[in-house]
Amino acid sequence: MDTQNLFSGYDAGENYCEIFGTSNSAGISPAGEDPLAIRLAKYKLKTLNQRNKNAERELHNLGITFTVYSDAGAIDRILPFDPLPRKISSEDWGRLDDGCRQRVKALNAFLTDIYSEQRILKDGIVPSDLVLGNDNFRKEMIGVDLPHNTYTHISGVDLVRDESGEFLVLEDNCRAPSGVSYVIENRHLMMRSFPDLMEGVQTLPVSDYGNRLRSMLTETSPAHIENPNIVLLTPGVFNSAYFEHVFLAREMGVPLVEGRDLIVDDEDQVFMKTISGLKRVDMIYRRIDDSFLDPEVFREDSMLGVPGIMRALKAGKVGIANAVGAGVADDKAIYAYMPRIIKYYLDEEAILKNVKTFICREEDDLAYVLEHLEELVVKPVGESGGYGIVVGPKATKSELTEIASELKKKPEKYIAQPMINLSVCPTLTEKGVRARHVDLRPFVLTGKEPWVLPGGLTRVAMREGSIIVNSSQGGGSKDTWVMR
Amino acid sequence: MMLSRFAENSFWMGRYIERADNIARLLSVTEAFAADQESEAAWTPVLNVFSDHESYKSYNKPLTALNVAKFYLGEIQNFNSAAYSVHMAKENARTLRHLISTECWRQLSMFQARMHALSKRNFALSKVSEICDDIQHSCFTHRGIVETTWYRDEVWRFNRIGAALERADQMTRLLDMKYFEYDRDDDDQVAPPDVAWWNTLLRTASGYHAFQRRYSFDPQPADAAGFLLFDARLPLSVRAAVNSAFHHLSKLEQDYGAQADANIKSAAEALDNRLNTPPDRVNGRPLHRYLDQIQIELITLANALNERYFSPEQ
Repeated sequence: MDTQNLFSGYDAGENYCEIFGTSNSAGISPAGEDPLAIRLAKYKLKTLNQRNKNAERELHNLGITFTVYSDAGAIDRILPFDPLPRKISSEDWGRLDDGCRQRVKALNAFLTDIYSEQRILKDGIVPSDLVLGNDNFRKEMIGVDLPHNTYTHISGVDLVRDESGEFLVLEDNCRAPSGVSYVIENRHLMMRSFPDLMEGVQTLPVSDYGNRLRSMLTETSPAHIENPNIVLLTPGVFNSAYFEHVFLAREMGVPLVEGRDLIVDDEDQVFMKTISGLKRVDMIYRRIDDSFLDPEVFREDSMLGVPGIMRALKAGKVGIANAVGAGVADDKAIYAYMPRIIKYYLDEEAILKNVKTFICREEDDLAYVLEHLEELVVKPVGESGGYGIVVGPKATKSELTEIASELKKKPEKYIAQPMINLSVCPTLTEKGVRARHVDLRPFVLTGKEPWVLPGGLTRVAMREGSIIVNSSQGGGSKDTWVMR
Repeated sequence: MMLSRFAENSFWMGRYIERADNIARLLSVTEAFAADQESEAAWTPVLNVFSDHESYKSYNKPLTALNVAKFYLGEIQNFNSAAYSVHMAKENARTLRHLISTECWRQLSMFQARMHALSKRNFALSKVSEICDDIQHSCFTHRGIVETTWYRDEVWRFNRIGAALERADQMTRLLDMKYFEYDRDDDDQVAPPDVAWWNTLLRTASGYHAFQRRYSFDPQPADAAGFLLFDARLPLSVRAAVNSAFHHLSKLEQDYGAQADANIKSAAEALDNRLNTPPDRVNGRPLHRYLDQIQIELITLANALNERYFSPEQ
């Protein structure tokens, strides 16, 4: 290949490119357009590969990994790292920042409402059974007052960008969105591996996330406590996101506890077992699912949780982030109603649009979906991690037949969306620099007010043509630069 | 305000690093000695010291110098091997990652990866001393990183207590290699002087030159044993290790209000008294029995720590 220009084999096709913009600038040498591209183009492919190899080795040595346990023992794997950054202009970021804050405000208002008056259900904006019959709706939370009415303290808004360059919301994450540790570690890694690329580039910093998180948790801890004892509750070293738990505990300077380290006494106060006796715990950032949190209330067989923690929550003696029952708001079925939910609570139009969504439980939508299966992406509700998704345009005949019969049997289990040609970003591959699809997950912290970490996690589908960016399906990540 | 679980993990992390280090020392002294004598029987004392004859049988390999070396260096199934110790040090560190320095995790992680590679590797007997050297140097580096990067809190104290107790225990084993054979009641011989062996042992314990300075006139084997046991100025001596453990224990009480209980205090006192009362002869059976007593008292102290700090009834 032509080593004179790193981008000579690069073709974004019909897709929006995160570096070069829309594809209608055919014929113009793309590297001539963008200052970042000009800098990047000066690297030889060999240099990029070498530095990338070093960077990945460094990730391994630093233990920025997820651990896969098998009979052969513990294997530490890294999330594949791509050294070519994704950038977001300051104008685009302004809009994303506003849009994410608006969305999370509405999500919190929605959660507050459905766990108290349920006005939105009574007014018929969202079907009652969709909420009350949802597995993630926790009736135990009805009537529980939470500081600042914050239910989703830490939220992830999954965004994609269509051919025209418009950002669309693909999914909300109100349980325990992961990946923020990669945002910060990727930046550190870029600063170490590509100081020459970053020199003089004005990007918004990401390094104060830990402080922000701790302040937010302090703000949302039970009101009468001035200096709350905060802990991060992890399922333990076997959890695939364990590194992130380590990272966040370290950034906040709080203990990383497991369920077995905590107890709840007869007066509903939570304590941790220390070498100097029992110490009070006031606020818990938990990375354990609702159903494992309290064997007194949810799954009895949970070894990960803390018996009595729901009692403590209801007594107002401990705060839990994210709130129990927040997951109902990020369900794919509720997602379809988000524009209406925003309008209902905030009396505003959604700044960030949804991807057009067909709710298969509704007769008309189901009929349309069955008619247009080969054009649509069908997603099971209540699943995450990219599992069970059928991408119509790429599915085989038999896959389509199978999903059609599933849809007829259990339509309420599915939604469908038109296929979005996710934007692409130049990515280092074995063949050189090529276009690969990316998404974006900004992280939103909500105490009194929501705050958005500049940028977010850019995930990249490393396989050619793939639009599935999940790490469980071979996705990697990139540093995300929000330009000043 | 440290969780009991972190105290335990840090304690064991400290222990396992010392264990790996001492296995490397033990093997290198054996290797050096065996090379002198050209004898494969020279390797059975290692099995004696760890009471590993049974577990070696289940390893199912002929008793050769190389096989024993592999059993103690790379065999992850052997709980007394260096590979296993480093693996366990890392697993304990894993739960402490938010409390220890990233430099420390990085080094331990890379150390563990090298040991893992070693367990897959076929090596010749001639490589053993080089491998032992590498393990020792990795342990030196590790200690240096702990020393220069860890925040001086309870986590660090427990790490140092674990390391000290393990060091004391392992030094008694190193010494006992020579005296294990004097276990029989009917045998109360004085061990024959064996200058070459003692010199090797002193070198292995990083004490050879200091010993020459300390005992410049006609040094005796009993002097060497006493030096390795009782000289508080020799970093690897049992006395120095025990003093270090006592020091950190007292700091726990002073700085963190984590008082030792009566069991810890009486176990510590017994150990202290033992070291203040040398056997009538620092040689032969009396020494072997004495080393046994120290080992038992170290175990009693570790158990008392466990009950008080790691799994307290609250």
